[in-house]
Amino acid sequence: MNYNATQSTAPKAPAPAMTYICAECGSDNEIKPKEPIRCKECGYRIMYKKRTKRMVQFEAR
Amino acid sequence: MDIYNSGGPEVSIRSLKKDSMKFVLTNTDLSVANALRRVMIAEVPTMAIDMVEIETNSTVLTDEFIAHRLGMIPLTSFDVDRIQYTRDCTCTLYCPNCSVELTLHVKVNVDYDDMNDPTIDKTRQVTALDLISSDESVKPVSDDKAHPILIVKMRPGQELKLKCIAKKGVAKEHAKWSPVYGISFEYDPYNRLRHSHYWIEEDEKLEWGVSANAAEETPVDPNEPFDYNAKPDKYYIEVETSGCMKPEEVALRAMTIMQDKLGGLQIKLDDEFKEDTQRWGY
Repeated sequence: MNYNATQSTAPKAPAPAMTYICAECGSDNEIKPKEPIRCKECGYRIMYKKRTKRMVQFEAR
Repeated sequence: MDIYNSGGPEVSIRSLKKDSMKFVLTNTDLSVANALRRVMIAEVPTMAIDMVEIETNSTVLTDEFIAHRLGMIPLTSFDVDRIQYTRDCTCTLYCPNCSVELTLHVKVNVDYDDMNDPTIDKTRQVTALDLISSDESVKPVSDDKAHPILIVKMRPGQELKLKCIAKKGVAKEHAKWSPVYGISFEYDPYNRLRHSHYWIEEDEKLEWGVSANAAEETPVDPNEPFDYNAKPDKYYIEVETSGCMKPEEVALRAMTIMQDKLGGLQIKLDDEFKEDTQRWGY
């Protein structure tokens, strides 16, 4: 079965830009899919993902 | 004293304080005394935080680290009978009948005036006193207001916002539900029954002193023959609670729980015997 069938026929939504934090200088970077992972400020290539804004649940044990 | 021909177990209280109690249990078997000890530790229900919903956490501790610390905080549980176990409740996840909500929201603002002054301690200690309970009878134990239970330390600019769900439970599921911090249990302080084998360098009497409980018993005469039929019948027990309920309440609840368990067993056994009589006629 071709799992990609539904993906290709669906209208392509504009890729949302995600914000990451540079591991070197700490500045926010908006990076779109397939874009090179490189800090606009310092050129560093390691990024951290931001914490979710959603609530997270844990068991206290 | 013969266990089987006298009035039954007796308790005499030697000291009773806010969070500890000493008592002597007499006229009963070692197995019963030990059962009471184990039930007090593991089967008296209390309240404890069981679920944590974290909205914001920019502190240095991870979410699961804080959740675990919150779970260990003792909560006042004298009104625990009013609350149901979640597994017995009709709700799907939790509801006011089987849980209590506690919220915590601490945000440390940056004070730009003394930001660069190293002499000012800008650390904010987030303690159990910051937890706001929705139920007045279930809140963190805070006997020592000067030294409340520390959850996390925060610096200016950090924020912690969360909701805790406290549930009723027993310590055989998780130790956080135990109402006791420690129980001391002693019998036969002179080792008359020789249940203890002391490790010694040279002299047993010199290296192993007798406990304070020995004052209530007669020392062993070295010339008397060893009575291998003797059984213990006097138990020295001290209960120290976490402050979630009174020590005498822990002991009484433990005894009620033991009675209920034996009652259930008796009913089941009676049913079994009745069935046998009907089927086989004996």
